[in-house]
Amino acid sequence: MLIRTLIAASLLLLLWILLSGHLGILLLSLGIASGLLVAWLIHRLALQNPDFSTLYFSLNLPRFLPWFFLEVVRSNLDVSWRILHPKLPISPNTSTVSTSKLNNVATTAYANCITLTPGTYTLNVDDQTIEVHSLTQETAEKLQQGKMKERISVLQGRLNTS
Amino acid sequence: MFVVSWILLVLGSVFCLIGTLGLMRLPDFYSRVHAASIIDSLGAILILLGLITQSQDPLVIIKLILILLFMMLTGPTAVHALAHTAVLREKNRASDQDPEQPHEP
Amino acid sequence: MFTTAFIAILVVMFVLLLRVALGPTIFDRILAINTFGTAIVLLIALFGFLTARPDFLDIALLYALINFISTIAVLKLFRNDSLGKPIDE
Repeated sequence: MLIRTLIAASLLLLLWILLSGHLGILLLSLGIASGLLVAWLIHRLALQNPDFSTLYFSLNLPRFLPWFFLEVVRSNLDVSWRILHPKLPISPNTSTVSTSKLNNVATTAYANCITLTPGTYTLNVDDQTIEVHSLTQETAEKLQQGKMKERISVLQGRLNTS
Repeated sequence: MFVVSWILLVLGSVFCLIGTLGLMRLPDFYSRVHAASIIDSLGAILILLGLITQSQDPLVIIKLILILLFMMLTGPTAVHALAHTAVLREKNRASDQDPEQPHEP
Repeated sequence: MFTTAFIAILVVMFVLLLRVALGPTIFDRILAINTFGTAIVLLIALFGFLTARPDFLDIALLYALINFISTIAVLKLFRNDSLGKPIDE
């Protein structure tokens, strides 16, 4: 756990340097101090999840993001078309999708991705299911096919076995 | 590069305007959230990408990417909290109006 | 060309304020204010480029974070009438 806290502190220090752009001694020491402080606060909050590999997640992210970006663009165009249509062809409805085989972080990522694509957003997250509100019947059916869930379950890696 | 940036900025503005149009046109709260999420996702992404392609300073690009990252992480969480609270409120309303406890003045 | 986007964002903000004034339920108003915050972040970033002063990006970055916290705080206050109590499901 100490190693994770130190890694978090050094990443925060890197963020500090990237944001400030100065390398003076005073600013660097302030950066180290605040990095350690925030890492300690994260440790106290117990936000770190021991059975989740952040490294694996980050390494697989480049394969996921382009597909997800295309998905966002596609759903944006769909919702925009429906808003601009004079007859407003919408049929709002709620449905549930299962999140079995996804761990906590992957479930959070899945819920966030659902909300980020217009046309669908999450109303409620349980242990096994996510309640989704969708603008049309078609988007709900598309979500039920579970393509996004497959991609995210690849993202979480092989550490999860439950 | 200039043309690409210009196209991205104009497209982002157009999507923002479509989102607000939807915010005014759509009939109820739950569908208005979809319109607001157009502004939060593609409107913000395209305008920030337009600014990224415009700038040469790496520090500026890093800051713009961080703004984009934070918005993509916090936006959905805020929308989810909002919708979740709305649903809870509706349920509470429904249970408050039990026929056993009439609220006659 | 930044001016085009700037004016578009200003129009967006005006309409969002209209939604805040009209909004039938309190959630419509909170939604509009949350989106208003996004528009402000974009506006500040555009303003930084418009006046060629990239320092404004720091303000935009901070505003993006504070906007999220304020939305969550308002919702928490609204849900259990207090900011101090933990959220109970």
